[in-house]
Amino acid sequence: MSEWVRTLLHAALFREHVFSDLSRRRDAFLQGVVIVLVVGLVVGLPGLIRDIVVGLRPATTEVEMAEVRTELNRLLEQMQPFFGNMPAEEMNALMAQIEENMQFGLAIAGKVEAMPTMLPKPLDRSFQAIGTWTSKPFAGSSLPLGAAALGTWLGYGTWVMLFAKLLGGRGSLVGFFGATAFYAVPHLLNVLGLVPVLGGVLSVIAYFWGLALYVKGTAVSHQLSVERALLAVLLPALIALVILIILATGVATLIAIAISGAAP
Amino acid sequence: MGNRTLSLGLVFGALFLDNDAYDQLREDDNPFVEGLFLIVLIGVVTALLHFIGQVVAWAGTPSLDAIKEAVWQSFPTMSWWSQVAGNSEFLEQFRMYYDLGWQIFPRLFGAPDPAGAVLNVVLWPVGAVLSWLIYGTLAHWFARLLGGDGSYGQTLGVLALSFTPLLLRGFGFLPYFTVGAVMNTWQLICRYKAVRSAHQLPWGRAFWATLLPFLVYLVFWVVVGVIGSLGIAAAIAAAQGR
Repeated sequence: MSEWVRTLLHAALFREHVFSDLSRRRDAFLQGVVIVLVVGLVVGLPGLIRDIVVGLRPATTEVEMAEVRTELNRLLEQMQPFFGNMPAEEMNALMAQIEENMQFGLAIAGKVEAMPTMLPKPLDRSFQAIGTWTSKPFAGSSLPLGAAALGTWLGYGTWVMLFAKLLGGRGSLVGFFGATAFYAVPHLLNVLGLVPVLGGVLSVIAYFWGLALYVKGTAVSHQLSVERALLAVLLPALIALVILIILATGVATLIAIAISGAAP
Repeated sequence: MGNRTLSLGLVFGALFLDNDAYDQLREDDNPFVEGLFLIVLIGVVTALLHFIGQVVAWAGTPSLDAIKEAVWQSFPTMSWWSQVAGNSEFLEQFRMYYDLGWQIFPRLFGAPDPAGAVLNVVLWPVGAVLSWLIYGTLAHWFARLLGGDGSYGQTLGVLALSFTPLLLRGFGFLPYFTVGAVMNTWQLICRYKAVRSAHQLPWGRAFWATLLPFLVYLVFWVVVGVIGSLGIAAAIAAAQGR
């Protein structure tokens, strides 16, 4: 165990032998899965504890409703600038409608929460917290490699593997996934993700640190230069971005043509 | 009776992309039968585990009928309700669509469903076997076109190992656990490994032999979509012309 932790620490410090040792192992993929899963579960621990504690509180319904209400009000305030050109009368009517729907939803949620269930509510809420916690390491992320999760590691990794091969990489699939799994290690900083401000700053640091380790893992496992490895890591995202821009431009052009065609 | 190659070690080896696991099944005297057995076993076992999680989640959820009725009872508090309350025809139709919606949407959005989970004990293995046979046949065909030397039985047998990521569904014994798309990506990687092993192809050819069956699926669904659209358009035109 201590040896394993030391390996992770050395990887986080970009020690090359750690990457090459893992990429040569027959069970490199299994090792990679374990690294990503363990980090993902550790990062989720504070959230799990918070959810279980909140779930065990007796007055959960009222507290949750108040929290949801505050959050929705904040969202409504943030949305207001987007309705900039709307006349005040229509704006007020829209806001009144949103408010009414919100009240409706909250009233229903309150009634559902008060309904009887076969399992005691605190136990069910604990199960929900555990289900959420165990699911997260399998999920994806909004940014490529943006979390210690198998979804993004395997999903984005498949494309990077392809580009690394096209750029002359000589690594195996297993070795590549093993070596790049170290990207998850800096995401341990997200344990403090619930801390206001600091959590956000640490998550940005973790992301770029993880990305740098990913490039290192790609370079070592494929015996590529860092420049080529960087290209292999960035190209899938860049190509996806270009396709997205082309599609968005195309859709916007079509809408503009349709609008100008419909105008008298 | 031939030798049995399948073992727990082989299954976990295949899940974690161990070359030996794929090579061992390729060399089996009847890889097709071993593959079929594995796929059915994975489907049944994971469906049973998933059933446990569904029952526990169901026990922690209020009755859907009670929720449905509570929502219905709350409609009169909405301002628009007073404008439609007197229109019995509208209310009757609204109630019909409301009931229909409650039959469809809770399942779509993951409401616990033990009855559906029981059905999965049959549906998951059958679905997996069909997917295995269709994909396996196409992948074998493309692999042979690209210079592969594996037999049909070897292709199917080794490709059965690419269904090992479906074991992740087994974590469904934890209520509220969701595995997401990672299972499909993992399976795709295993498929590449299987095609490469069964046909001893270089990486580039194995890559295309793995992906081309999906291109066939895409073309098939596009054709089905176009024919369906033309059929609907023809039906509408015929109805208008009547």
